[in-house]
Amino acid sequence: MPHSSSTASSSAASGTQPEALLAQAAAGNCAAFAAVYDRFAPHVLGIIERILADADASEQVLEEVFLRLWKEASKVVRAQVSVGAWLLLTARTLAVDRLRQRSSTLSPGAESRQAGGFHNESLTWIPDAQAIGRLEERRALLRKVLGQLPRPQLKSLELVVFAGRAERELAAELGEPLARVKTELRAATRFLTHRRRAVVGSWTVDI
Amino acid sequence: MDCRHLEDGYEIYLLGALDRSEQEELHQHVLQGCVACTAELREAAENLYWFLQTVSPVRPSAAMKSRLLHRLTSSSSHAAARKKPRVSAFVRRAPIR
Repeated sequence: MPHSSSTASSSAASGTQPEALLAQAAAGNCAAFAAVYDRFAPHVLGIIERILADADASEQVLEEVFLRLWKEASKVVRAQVSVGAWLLLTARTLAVDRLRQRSSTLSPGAESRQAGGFHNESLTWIPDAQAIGRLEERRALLRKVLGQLPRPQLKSLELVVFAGRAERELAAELGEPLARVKTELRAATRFLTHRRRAVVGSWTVDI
Repeated sequence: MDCRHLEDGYEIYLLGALDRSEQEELHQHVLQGCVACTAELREAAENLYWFLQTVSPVRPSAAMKSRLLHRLTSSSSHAAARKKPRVSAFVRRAPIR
């Protein structure tokens, strides 16, 4: 990891792609890393606070996320993945980990488990900058489309994403059979895939 | 392993919400290098990115950024100090002409 800091450079300007900034950060440029922080910290903190609902704990996790990015900058650059995707997905994982630690402290003996596949060393399934760029170009339309997700499916997905519920926990919480919960969640993710492909694949698609 | 039975469980896997045995089964399968499942996981991650980026942003405190940058520069200085030989040690080893 970087072992020297650099002064601010013009390359750390707001127009530079985050992946290019992270490559500079991996070479020890703190100003470039600060530019990545400025660009993404509000979104990352928004996700963490939605999960933890605790401002102090959320800032601690925010710091943890960016320290991890600093440490793993070279690896993320080599993998050629989207910095924004890495940050948002890592933030969700670490925040849910924190949430589960808090729950297990309150109820000792609660089963501990990891918050997702992002703990894995491999970065192969993190989307690249082009894929994320296509989503960002259609952000407004995608937001509108998400409103079409049936309410029970949206609620189930939110409980998994933001409350860290496992399928089995969700079934118990909703008082529904596990098979039904699994079906609803898969219907929700299928909806996301089909609509995302439609929106990204065409500007004129009739949503 | 037959990938077909995984169907639409990729997002659920990435979120860590499958049963432990299912989670581990898919994990091991992907580690073996399944190209089809890796592509599915990448699409699932796009879906999750889309879902996550709809959350309203929250501006961190100014102190947060200062604290983070301080930690980066101090950890960098320590790393540099460990990596670089001290000048005095180098001078002592240099031959005298």
